Amino acid sequence: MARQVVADILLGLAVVTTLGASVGVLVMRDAYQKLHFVTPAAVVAPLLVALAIFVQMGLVENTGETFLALLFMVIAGPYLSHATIRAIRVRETGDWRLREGPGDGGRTAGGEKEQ
Amino acid sequence: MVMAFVAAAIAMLVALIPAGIVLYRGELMASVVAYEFITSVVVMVLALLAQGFQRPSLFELPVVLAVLLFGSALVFVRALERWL
Amino acid sequence: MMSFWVMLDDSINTDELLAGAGAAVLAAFFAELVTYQAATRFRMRIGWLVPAFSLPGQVVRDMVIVYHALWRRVAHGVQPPSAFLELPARFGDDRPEGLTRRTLLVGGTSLAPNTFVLGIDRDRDVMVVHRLVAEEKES
Repeated sequence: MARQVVADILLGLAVVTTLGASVGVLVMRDAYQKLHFVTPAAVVAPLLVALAIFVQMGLVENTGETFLALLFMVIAGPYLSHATIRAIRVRETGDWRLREGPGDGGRTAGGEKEQ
Repeated sequence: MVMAFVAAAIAMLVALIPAGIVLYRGELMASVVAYEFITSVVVMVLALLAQGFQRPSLFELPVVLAVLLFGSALVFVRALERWL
Repeated sequence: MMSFWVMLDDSINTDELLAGAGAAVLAAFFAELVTYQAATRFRMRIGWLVPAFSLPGQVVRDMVIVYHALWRRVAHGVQPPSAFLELPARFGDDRPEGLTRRTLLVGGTSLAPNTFVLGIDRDRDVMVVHRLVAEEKES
């Protein structure tokens, strides 16, 4: 009974996370901002789902395979996000570095912002 | 059948609708972002359905799909950055 | 590789193990081929994995930040203060250790949802990142 409750809570959190992330992908202004809402669906929600399956079934083959998929998504996800945001920037400006000049928004130094 | 997992899978399918709208109507790179989101959710949905229907053989599909969809997204990203 | 096969297959029959060994050999061959063609090698130092223990907390913190920004966007129409930033990060050299360190740095920084790394500038030793919610003053 307690197992089922914990599993249901984890599933609920995963669903809420994913639904919120989908709203974020829809309402955010540009591709840069939308990309930040892929990580909750690609890393956090699968972790919650894997934990729910683990709580429900314990350490069996199914759990192992689910954690294998989760492990891959957690390891590969950041690099996919890195490649994607770099590609977006290169397509827009030709270079991922922040360059000088008013036309490009200016280079920042020491952590100042470029909008 | 474990209803909670099937219900969660159905709820996550609903999350594909906003991403689908972005995929269809958005700019090119926003569509790529939506595609990456959709692939992540699909992997989760398949894992949830496998657990919900208690079919151990179905668990291999999300594992394989996670790898393949990651590769496909990388192909899109690389091609759009360099050639298209 | 072999352990992944056994985990997926859930069988220790001889024929399954032989098939797994063959698949592992093929995978290892192609991995070596790719690293040879790309002229890259990885070499890890265990100490580099220590900062990884702080990643779960960072993910949780960034989830709160990102979803708070989403709430403000949906409820009040306020756009999040996104920005590109340059953070100090040593590029290092092109030896395997340097390459591995940069790879881990990029992956670890991009895991949490508020920050994504675009790259590490070789000439200026800075890491260019994009933040969904960039604070007013970055240290």
